[in-house]
Amino acid sequence: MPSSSNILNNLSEYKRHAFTDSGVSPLAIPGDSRHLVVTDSDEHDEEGHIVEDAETRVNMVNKRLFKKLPLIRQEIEPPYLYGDTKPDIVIIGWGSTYGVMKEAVDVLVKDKSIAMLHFSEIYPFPSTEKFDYLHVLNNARLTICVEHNATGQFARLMRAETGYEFKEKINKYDGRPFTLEGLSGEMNAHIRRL
Amino acid sequence: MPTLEDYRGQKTTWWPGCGNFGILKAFKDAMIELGIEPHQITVVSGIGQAGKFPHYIKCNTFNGLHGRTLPVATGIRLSNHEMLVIAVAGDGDCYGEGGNHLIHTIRRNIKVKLFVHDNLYMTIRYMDSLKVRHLLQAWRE
Repeated sequence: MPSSSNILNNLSEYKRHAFTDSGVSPLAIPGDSRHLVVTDSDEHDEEGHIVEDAETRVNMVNKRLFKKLPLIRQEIEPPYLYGDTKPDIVIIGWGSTYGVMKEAVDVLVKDKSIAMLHFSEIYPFPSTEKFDYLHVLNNARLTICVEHNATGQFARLMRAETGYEFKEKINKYDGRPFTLEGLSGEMNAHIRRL
Repeated sequence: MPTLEDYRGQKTTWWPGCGNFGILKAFKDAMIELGIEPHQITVVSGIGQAGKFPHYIKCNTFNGLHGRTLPVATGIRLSNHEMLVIAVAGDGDCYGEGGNHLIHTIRRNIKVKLFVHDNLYMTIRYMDSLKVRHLLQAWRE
């Protein structure tokens, strides 16, 4: 990417939140040039000044929500599939359960077709363009969502974003992390019922 | 040398007679007297009438969250040691919402200039003009 000052040198007037076709405004660094960089946590106009008029509000929401967010979605990492590439059993999780889920797959993969699907970025929710994780889930006989909360927050997010509902859930909410023995024990209880 | 016109900002939404106008004028005069150009300073503010201050001058501006003026100012000072950073807050924003940040910023001594508008703590925002007039009168007496 060309340095910001090259683009900005050709501008007579800089607007930090300028409307562009892509929705992304040129980025100037305060102090790098004579251009002033103005921004606001409240709704603002193209220059970055606080506004309350409805028209600018709608245009700014259109810029952020309908132009920028789809671009961000393209850069979101798809979930990581570890273990069997065409698994019968998939355990799904996010964040800090990565290690224990991976170990559980290492233990169980010896005599079962099993894999882990781990989400590290969930907003905007990853599209299936880079990797069709829904295909993996739909072809599995058993899908278990492993979460450190009582309500299955990720399972609900998954259903809201994709319509997919996990077949089983393992929720741990005693304030302690999963252990390998505990998790693989609970997984085995589900697997035995297959 | 900068002129008053170089520092002309947006149209204000402050009430006529608001004490903030005096601060605004004094600030512009000081910048002109010191020969500081608008692109050489960054003014950081939070929320409230004082928070709108940087919009009414012309400069690099970060109008952030309520009470969080000084953390942003600290960040700017850390990333650009040359930048003159001025933080503007109302008394509620600075001593109430962001009191903890004030203490830690004093301790770190990061060469940020902080201007706190004495607004009789949250009154201007929430009381109608008559009540404020009475209050100001009582205060003066």
